Amino acid sequence: MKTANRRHFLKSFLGLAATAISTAVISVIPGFARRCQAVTAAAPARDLAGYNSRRHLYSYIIDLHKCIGCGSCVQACNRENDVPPDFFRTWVERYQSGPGSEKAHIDSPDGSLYGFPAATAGVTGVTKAYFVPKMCNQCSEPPCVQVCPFGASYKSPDGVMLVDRDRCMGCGYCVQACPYAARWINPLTHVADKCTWCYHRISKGLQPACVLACPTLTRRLGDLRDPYDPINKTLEEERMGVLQPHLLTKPKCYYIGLDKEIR
Amino acid sequence: MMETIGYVFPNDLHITWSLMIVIYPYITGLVAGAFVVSSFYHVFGIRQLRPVARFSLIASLAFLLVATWPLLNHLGHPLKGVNVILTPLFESAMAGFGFLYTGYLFILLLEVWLVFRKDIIVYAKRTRGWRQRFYRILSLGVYDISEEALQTDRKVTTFLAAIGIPSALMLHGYVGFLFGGIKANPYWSNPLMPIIFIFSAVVSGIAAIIILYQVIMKLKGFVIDRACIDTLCAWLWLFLIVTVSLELLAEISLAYAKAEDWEIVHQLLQGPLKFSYLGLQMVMGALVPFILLGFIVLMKRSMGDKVTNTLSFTAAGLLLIQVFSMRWNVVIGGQMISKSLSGLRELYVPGMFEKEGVVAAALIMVVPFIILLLAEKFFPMFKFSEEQTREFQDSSAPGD
Amino acid sequence: MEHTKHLWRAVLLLLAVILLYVLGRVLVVSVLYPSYGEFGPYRGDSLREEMAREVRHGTGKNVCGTCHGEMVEDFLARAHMDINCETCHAPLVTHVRFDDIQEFLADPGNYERTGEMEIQHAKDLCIRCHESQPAKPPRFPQVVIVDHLQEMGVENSADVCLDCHDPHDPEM
Repeated sequence: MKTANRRHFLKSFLGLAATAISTAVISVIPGFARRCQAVTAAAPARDLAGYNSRRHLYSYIIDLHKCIGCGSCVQACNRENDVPPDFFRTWVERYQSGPGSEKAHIDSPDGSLYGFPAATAGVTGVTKAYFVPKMCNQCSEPPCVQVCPFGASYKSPDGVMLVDRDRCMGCGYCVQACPYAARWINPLTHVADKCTWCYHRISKGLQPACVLACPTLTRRLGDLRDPYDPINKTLEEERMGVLQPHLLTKPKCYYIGLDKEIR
Repeated sequence: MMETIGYVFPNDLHITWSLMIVIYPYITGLVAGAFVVSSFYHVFGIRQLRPVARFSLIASLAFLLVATWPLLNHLGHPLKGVNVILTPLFESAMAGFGFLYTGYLFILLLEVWLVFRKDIIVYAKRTRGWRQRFYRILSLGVYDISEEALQTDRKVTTFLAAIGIPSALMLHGYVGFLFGGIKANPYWSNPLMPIIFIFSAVVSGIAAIIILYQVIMKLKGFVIDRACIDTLCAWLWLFLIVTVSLELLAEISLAYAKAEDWEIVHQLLQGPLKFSYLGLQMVMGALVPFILLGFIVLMKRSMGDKVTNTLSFTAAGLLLIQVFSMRWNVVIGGQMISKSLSGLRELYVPGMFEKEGVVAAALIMVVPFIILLLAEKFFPMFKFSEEQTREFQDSSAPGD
Repeated sequence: MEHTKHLWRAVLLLLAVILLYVLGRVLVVSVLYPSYGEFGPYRGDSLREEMAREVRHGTGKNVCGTCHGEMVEDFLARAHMDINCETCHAPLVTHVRFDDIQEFLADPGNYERTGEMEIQHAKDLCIRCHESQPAKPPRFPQVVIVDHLQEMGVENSADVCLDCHDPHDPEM
């Protein structure tokens, strides 16, 4: 190799080496620091007002035998969470089928914000009908978190999917990925929005607004990590279903009395 | 009130991905397709494509520079998009965008620079003023255009063109995977998606090059190279056959399995999407060009230049529409299926002057052509001998 | 290897850009998002921000009972006893302003009324639950309102239900 070329080669080699080493060092240090933090992380003091999110894991049960379709939950949620009109963090659907119908007739007028009208045009001879409250299922294997490009949609340590409003860019990928249509882009904030199981309430030991509002005890939120919570017994002993189980999103909303028509 | 068929979830009444998300894969498809045309010459040595090799490289770059615009226009908070390169989480297909885009951009810039380096240095010496400064910067301070240097350049170009192919295909293919990975949507969830997108992209790329090549040659008064057109048409025909076969296969598989997905997808394709799927994507956009290109390829010897040029121009135009309608059907059609799998939203009609409307899309699509016009001023993309020019000017017989 | 000076320069330029990116990324993330990675691949502060959202509903009748003790006592023995007051009225915060729910719950008696509690008289509120429908559980008390009014010989009006029923003691 001629001297000039050797110089070039050395320069470039040094440049490459410098890049590689600094990349490695800089990438490793924060990770290392974080791991040191994590080791000492039995300390709960990192959360707000002494709430240790790692000590809880929430789950939700909906008893479809009890829902009367009054929409009080929808109203309470809207009031608690500034939900814009025509969007829903929670909603109720009505299924009606008769002996001749192959599929149930499904409707949800305004998400049942004002309840349901008694009669539905063109639906007669109803033999089976029921209401189904819906919301974010807070899946254990959430497709919405999987598709978020940089963690603006994330899973909290206590099992709730939340949106980082400061970082979400409103791309809508999570909205497309949710099989339950629980997510939407807020027309005012232009970021993704969804039911959070009233995280600001449950992290203070309160019930979500929808659970509080329900007049027939249809909805129930429990803590799987609390040995005294009756929800554990219910989940262990009662028969219940989840929505779209074949997608294996492992929802944490369990339905008692689920019907084959319900998606 | 929103027109719906069947039951649509309350939150599904709002469409999230608009016309902007239709033109984004269209543009990256053109990027990948144009690059593949260029690589046909630089890597596979298809000599007949020499006339368009340099041009398609710049065309790829021109579309690449505009590729992020529809995305930025669509985002609720475009500036926060920078997080994609700050804290990407690679379980998301979208997270790949930052690196796939910049990776391919670097490869393309390097290849363009090497292909045009001789001209850059010649101009650096010949021009004066700010133009000279511009070329000098591009030369990186090295003015070596000896035969050995150019040989090395050619070798590196071949290498770049080779690694550029998977890079360009990844840049477009990840979009296909982005859709294909969504198990919640029966029209999208399909392992063939990335492959369909890639082959479809090459179709659009070749079609665009055919059209642009003919237009530019006509404007400049140069001869349209028959062999070049014939070769482009042959490859276009091949890729068209594969693309449409894959597109059809995707739906035929669903129809055969008669599972939950087909139940709602066939309602979509036979209902609101009938015109754009059957009419545009399949019949007018695929069958007709298939026949036209079939004539061109199979009856090569008995077709005159003018007939070939006209037929190929028409076929290419129809194919550009086909590929656009395919993107439209996937993006908009897919969103019309409610997650309830029991209903369809009404057809989305983009407004004219909305933020993400027709005029915005048209403006974005025009910019690459403006870039090409500007590029022509600085980098000669079509270099022809005096002889060829005289040949054209002398010929007086029409329809040769 | 000769005549390759320009290539090395291009490579160096590329490496410089990559190095700038790597350095820049770490700097920007640690400055803009210091809590990133605290609990997982997201900003830890976001969790805190979500927790700090305004709480508007209270925790049920017991809280209302602080000032409306008698009404709540009576209510607790009646047919509507499982229903939270706010369901038919309005969120607590519209009636008694509080900044921190936990502080409020520790000593609710210390808070003053800051607004009128919404009271709905219109029958729409009653109908939502009690209008008969096939989809409602059969054992739930429901009537076809029109028939019920006819049966009772009562003229329909905007707040007709209140003519006979007290929402806090609805059974006749």
